[in-house]
Amino acid sequence: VQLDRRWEALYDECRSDLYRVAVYLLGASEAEEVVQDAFERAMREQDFFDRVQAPAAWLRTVTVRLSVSRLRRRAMLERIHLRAPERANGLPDPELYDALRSLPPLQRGAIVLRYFFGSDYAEIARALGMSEKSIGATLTRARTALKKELS
Amino acid sequence: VSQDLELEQRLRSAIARVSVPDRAFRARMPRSVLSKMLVGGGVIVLFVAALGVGQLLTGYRSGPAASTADPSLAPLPSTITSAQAIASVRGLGDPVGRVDRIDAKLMTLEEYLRVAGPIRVLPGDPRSTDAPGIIGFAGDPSTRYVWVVAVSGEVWPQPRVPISWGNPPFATLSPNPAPSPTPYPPYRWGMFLVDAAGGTRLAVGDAGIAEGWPAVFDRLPNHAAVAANATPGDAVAAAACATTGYDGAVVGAFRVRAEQLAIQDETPRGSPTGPHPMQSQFRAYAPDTLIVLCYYDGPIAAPGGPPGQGSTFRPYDRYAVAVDNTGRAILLVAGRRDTLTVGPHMPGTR
Repeated sequence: VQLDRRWEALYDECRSDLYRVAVYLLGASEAEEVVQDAFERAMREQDFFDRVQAPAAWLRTVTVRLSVSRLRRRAMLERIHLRAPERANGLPDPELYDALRSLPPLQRGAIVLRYFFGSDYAEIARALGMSEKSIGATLTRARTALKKELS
Repeated sequence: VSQDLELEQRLRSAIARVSVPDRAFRARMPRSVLSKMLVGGGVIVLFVAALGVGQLLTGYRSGPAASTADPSLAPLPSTITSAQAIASVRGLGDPVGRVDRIDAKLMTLEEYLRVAGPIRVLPGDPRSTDAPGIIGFAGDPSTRYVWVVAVSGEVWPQPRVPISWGNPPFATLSPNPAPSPTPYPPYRWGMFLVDAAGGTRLAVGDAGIAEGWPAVFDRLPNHAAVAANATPGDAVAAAACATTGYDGAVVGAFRVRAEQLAIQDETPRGSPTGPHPMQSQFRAYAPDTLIVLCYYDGPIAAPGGPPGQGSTFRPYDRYAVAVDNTGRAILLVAGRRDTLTVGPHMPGTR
């Protein structure tokens, strides 16, 4: 398959951060799959580089959205004991990882987008399918819960 | 604020320290043929499963009759059972298409007419206005017993196919236009009247498109049927004799095995060289088929037309009719009371 060189460049630029965030959201077992899915979706978009002004932002939005979607499914499976909760398994700062894991999926996605990627409220709202007005409150609740877990 | 900043730093640092496995950029290939086949196979399996479930549901809904006889009503004689009445309607072919639900009740024709109204002439197109006229039956409706079989689904009181234009059925004259299917949509329900004596279909009592199931059917009475193992000369045979269309007084009614009738029929009359058929018409039935023999007293035309001028012909006043298992009435013999013996045997052989 003859590929546009821009894909390779975008991959080199974004893949590491996307993977790291996905690991911290989902765990290592699904992180790579989610990143691959995000790139695949991008490549299926017609005239992606012409239509999308910020490809990196587009990719992190999709990666976080896919991760949150998987987290919701996983929460349901964990509730009915069909799946064991994900463990930190050698991740840096396992205490933080466990605290993050205690948050609802949307709060987890919001906090990662805000603190790691520095996304503004509009981008977080687009990624998580929420209203922009509710992002501030969501982040506040997430921070409060995290601090409580870490204290 | 400082706590928030600290949390932000900690998160950023933790995520940044996650080790990333080295993976070269690799475009995911298009879905393999195998996965497409799997998807296609899944769709086919689902389709087949849906068909199966549909069949199951259809079978359930069109299963055995749900109506039970009213014990407060007197039982009525019937040579066929409820299931046979239903089967005869279900197997009609052209007038009955899809069957969603089917049920049968036994009653007198008088009861049917009182509750459901007269038997109307139904037009081919259910959307058109009623055709003028009603259908009547000979004889006393209070002693005529019918199974009313209601069907919901697709009903064509005037059959779907073929409508033959011009020449009568089986005509080989040319030009003979090919049969054509009806251009009309089906009725949503129909009520078929089946003769309780023999099981022939008498008429489509009513049909409609306004409702999915005839509400009038639920208001019809339902008599129990007299047991099928009644002995010869019983009410079952008498009921069959009452519906042949002959208007003499029934003086004998018997049920006899077809083979027995055939043997008697093929026995020479009067002397060993007397007349007899080489092969009785009753050989056409299975040996154990029960044929109803009806003896009537009353005037009947002599075979061969009116007597000649000046003759002293004495009119026939007794005759025998056979009713077969399809309800067909066959005139067997006409004679006189002093020579034609009434009994459960081939008339004229004793």
